[in-house]
Amino acid sequence: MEATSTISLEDALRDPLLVKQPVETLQRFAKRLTKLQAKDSENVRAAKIGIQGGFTVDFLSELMPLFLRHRGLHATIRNAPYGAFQTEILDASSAFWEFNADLVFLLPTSRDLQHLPQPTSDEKTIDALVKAELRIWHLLWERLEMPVVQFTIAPGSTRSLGEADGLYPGGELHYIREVNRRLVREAPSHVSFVDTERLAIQVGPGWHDERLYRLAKQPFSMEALPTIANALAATAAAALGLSRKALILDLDNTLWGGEIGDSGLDGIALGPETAEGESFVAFQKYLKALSCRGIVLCVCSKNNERIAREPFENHGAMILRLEDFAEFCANFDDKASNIRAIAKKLNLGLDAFVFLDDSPVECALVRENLPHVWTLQLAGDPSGFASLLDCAMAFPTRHLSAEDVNRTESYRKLGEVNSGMQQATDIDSFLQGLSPTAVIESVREDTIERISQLIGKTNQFKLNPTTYSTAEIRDLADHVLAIRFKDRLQDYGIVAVAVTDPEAAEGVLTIRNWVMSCRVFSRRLEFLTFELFSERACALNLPRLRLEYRDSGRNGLVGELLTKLGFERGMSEEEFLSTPTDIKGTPPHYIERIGTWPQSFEYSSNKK
Amino acid sequence: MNGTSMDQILERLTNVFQDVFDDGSIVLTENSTADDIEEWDSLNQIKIILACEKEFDIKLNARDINTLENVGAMLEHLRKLGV
Repeated sequence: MEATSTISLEDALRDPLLVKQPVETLQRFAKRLTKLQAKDSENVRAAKIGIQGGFTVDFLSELMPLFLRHRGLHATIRNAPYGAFQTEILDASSAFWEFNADLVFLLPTSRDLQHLPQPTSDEKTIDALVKAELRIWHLLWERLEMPVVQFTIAPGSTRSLGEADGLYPGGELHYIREVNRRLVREAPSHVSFVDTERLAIQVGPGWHDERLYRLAKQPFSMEALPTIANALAATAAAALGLSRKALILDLDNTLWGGEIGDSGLDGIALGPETAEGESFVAFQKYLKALSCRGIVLCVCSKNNERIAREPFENHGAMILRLEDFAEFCANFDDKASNIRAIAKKLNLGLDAFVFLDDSPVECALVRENLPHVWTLQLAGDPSGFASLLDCAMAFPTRHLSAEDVNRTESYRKLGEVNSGMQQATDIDSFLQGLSPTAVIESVREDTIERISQLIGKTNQFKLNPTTYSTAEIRDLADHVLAIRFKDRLQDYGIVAVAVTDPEAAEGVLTIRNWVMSCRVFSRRLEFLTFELFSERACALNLPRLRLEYRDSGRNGLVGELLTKLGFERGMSEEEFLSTPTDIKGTPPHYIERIGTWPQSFEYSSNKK
Repeated sequence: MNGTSMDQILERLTNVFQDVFDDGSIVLTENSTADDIEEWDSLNQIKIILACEKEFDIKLNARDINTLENVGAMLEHLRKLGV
């Protein structure tokens, strides 16, 4: 009887998401691999791996050959006997040294800590304890000259000091974190770490298994093993120079929603206006971050090249730019041939590539023709794309070094934002530090929907219940003000809209309705908007602004604002009037303005 | 609660062993012990127990686990748990 796995060992080894298989399936694959490797490992790089762990490593060790083979390594493994993982290394005549490992996994747990603090220990005491804790590790690192992949100390399953445990000196979790910080800082460069605190978050509730620890001295559950094995294998691969280096991306339904060839620039889902569009922006940001740390991005799309380039050149919400790609390949040839050509041009082996596509057909084709490429099919909601790619750990790094990271935009930007936040001593300098920008948008096919929708669905910052259909917006295009808001952190999309009506006979510029999304409250965008109203009124020679404000029970904050903007009740209960030239002292908004209002409109030019 | 016969439990237990050892040729009887299956060591014992918990939807105490060293004891214990 064949065991109940749905995929073969061969397919599993080519699947970037091997880690997602159930642990029982992986244990069977590992068994089969051991039998197979005896005769079939000639073209695979071999390595002897010593596993030195402070717990029973047997179950983990059983999976390691599978996860290492997954990354192109034929591993011969030796486990240190339980309880001897440190002493073996210190004893030059031990079986560990006889084995002559090419790489060592050094896997302590919190039970290996020797200098735990008391709840009353102060910072100075902790410092001394941490220093003492580090001694043994310096001794071990000195002896080990081969690459070492080491666990940071994982937090325990209980916190006797409650929340204080991780936050104050004297807490065990606090101590563990201090030790980890020191370990990482003081380790020589041939030692790389696996961040177990992060692994625990990834695994979730199954990370700790107290019963299994009592039974077999394995502190985590079997279900945690694939995630652990994957992280260890990835870090080992990085240490041995086996990381993948390049990512080839499809375009339609991979970088944006929909088909650019069918729907055109305005029709694809990309940008903060919809949940789907926002997900693709988030995915692009993740890809951009990969690119910034040196992962080579390429495009391989079945499209007309001119059309495929258009979103990169002309879509406002695009994060990735043409210059982020080493190769841009859009044609109607089969993708396997295109990928081969890309590999050749970049002078990289096929095993350096990951290929991402939403199409099962394209993925199957590449998988079959180019088994060395890691093909990852994007499935399900695009909000999950980034974490899907992330959990494959296709591009592991040992630690950040100058050669891994080219200090490009995102790092620089991030640094600037951080320094801005640190320096911000009051709200004004904070707002200023965010470099806010207001882009005055025209009424166009790709904005009209959002403009009409924003007026309809806004509840809080809204003058009155009047709504406008897209047809009405189109007719009123000359008089519609739409503002897109950005800062150095993100593009919020169109977040403020007003519909105006110049009434020359009465000498007023009427604001029929005015809405603003709650996403940009307290960014002072309302003051910039008011400025625009005032300028417009002035240009039309209209001395006053008029609007109709109706209290809906939810839009009270607009009422308060109107007073600040000098509006006073007019003829009726709901009519308010202001003379903008009389207004002094609205707070500075620091918002840079791009574009003018009104600008030359597509629709208005047709009309006249 | 004893809806399942001993034979049916034995059949399911056999499947568990075949999966754990990835060996479809394993045949269990009530008298099978660790001596009959070459790889049945203390670590595989843990795997067998964990696989049984999943298969029969039960949770065993550490104290019980140490006593389940042969198939007969396992069957008896499973029956006691109302499998």
